[in-house]
Amino acid sequence: MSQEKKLMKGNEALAEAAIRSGCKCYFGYPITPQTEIAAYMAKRMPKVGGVFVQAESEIAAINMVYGAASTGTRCMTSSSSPGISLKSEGISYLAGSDLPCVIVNVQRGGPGLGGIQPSQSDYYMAAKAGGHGDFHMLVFAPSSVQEMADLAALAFESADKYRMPAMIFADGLLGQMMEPVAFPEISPAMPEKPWACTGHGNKREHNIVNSLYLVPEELERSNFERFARYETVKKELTLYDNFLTEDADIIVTAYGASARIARSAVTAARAQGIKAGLIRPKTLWPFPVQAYRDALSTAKAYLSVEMSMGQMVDDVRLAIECSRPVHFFGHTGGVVPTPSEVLEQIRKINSGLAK
Amino acid sequence: MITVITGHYGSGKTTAAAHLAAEYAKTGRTCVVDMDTVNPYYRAADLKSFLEDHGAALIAPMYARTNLDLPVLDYDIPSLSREYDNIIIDMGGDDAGAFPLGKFAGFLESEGQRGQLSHLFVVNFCRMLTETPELAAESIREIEAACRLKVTGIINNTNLRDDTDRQTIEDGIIKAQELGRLTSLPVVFSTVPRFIDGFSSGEFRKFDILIRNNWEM
Repeated sequence: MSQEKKLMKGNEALAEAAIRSGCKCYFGYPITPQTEIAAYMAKRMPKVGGVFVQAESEIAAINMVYGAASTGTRCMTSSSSPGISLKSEGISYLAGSDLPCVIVNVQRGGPGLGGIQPSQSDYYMAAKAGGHGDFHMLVFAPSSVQEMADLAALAFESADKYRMPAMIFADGLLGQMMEPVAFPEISPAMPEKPWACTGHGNKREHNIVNSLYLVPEELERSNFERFARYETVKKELTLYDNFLTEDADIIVTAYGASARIARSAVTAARAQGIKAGLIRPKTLWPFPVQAYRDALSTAKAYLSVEMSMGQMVDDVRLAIECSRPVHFFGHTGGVVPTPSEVLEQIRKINSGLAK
Repeated sequence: MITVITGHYGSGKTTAAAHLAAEYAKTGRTCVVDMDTVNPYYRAADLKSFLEDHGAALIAPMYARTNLDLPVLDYDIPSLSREYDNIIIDMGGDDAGAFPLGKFAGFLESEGQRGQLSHLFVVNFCRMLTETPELAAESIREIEAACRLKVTGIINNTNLRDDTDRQTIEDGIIKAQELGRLTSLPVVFSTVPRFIDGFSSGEFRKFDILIRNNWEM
């Protein structure tokens, strides 16, 4: 029998994939709509020899990740938008210490306490400003329950490989909806981690995990080294999907749950004879700049569809250096766009092109 | 008659409650009570129009489907039982979701003594954490302890949504029978998605997939 499919919520699939990827420590704190991750980990971790801790706060949880990651242990924390804001100091420290870990953001409406319904308004926070200082984290944007699992596995592997924090960037819809999912054989290949603080046993120099530099030139050197590594990441780990883009006049672009909606709208537009296509980033950092440039050969306009007031749209404009009009359509605050609304935007842009 | 529906998260409790309501509404005044206090997503309150189209009422907390993520129950089951012939109580997932039922344990126990109560456990063997009869039996014990009410029957709702095939259904039936043996509980019926032919005898019910995302319509 081939891989048996299970019916799972996105949050559960992500948690199961993390366990299968060798995640041994999970530190959580409840918040809708990601609580199933913590609930699943609480049930499963003791059965697989792992550790589940419900921390006293989001801030405590991310600093527990800092500690576990310092030992080279695969570890994870998860939250939703307001909780990720709280974690941002810890994320910066993790990045400054070159520590691999996985942070999950199942986004909800904001700003402030906002609401509990799905949203994508933390794009800037994930892709641009995960905390203070010069750094990036890997940002994976799944768009199905299967990808919640697949990208979680990739996030652990990539975080280790490049020694940097990785974020699974989902939303309430992806976290809560159920779809069939198969788990490929994940054999967690744990790379050597000679930097890890695991006890020197008087046999080697002791390792130090630290993000404080007393000499400005040393701090600059560490940032230069890190940004050189980022260039490698951009070459090796920029992921996206193209759908009907080869001859497209109008390039629609969306990630996550919005991409499911946009894909339906693109299919409907094609049925009406409108040459629309979809670029779906699977990594938001690194951003698939080249995909948007490649589409310039036929594209006359771009349309970014987001559950926000318009955030990723800026990166699309930068990618093509504003050489075409880049439109935006979205809903925010927990309201989800419909395929027919997106289709209406495509039709409007198309009739503008005909003139 | 009061029907309590419990089960693991995502096992199909709300879908089962809605289908049962549509059936019961043909013979008497029927309501579905949304008593899910653990997960504000995908709850009975989302199916208000389906229920009303089928002649059943929805009783849901005033904060259901708002951003106020509070476990509030602003209704009273004993008074509802004077208004309705059939009450279907749709609980939240797992033992955590079954817990609030304890508030009405005394009343429900007396209804049970009068033969006016059934407590149905919904199971989908395609769901992780209840993929075996043994795990499902454990879930039943946890739920019974949390809500202080014995389960009286099993609804086998094994499916993979649109990916369900005949094999899925047949595997589910075997596991449901085993769960029945382990717990000495009857399998009241097995559900079959409407797009699958056959399975038309009395032990099956044809179900529609009621919980949809807007791009699937």
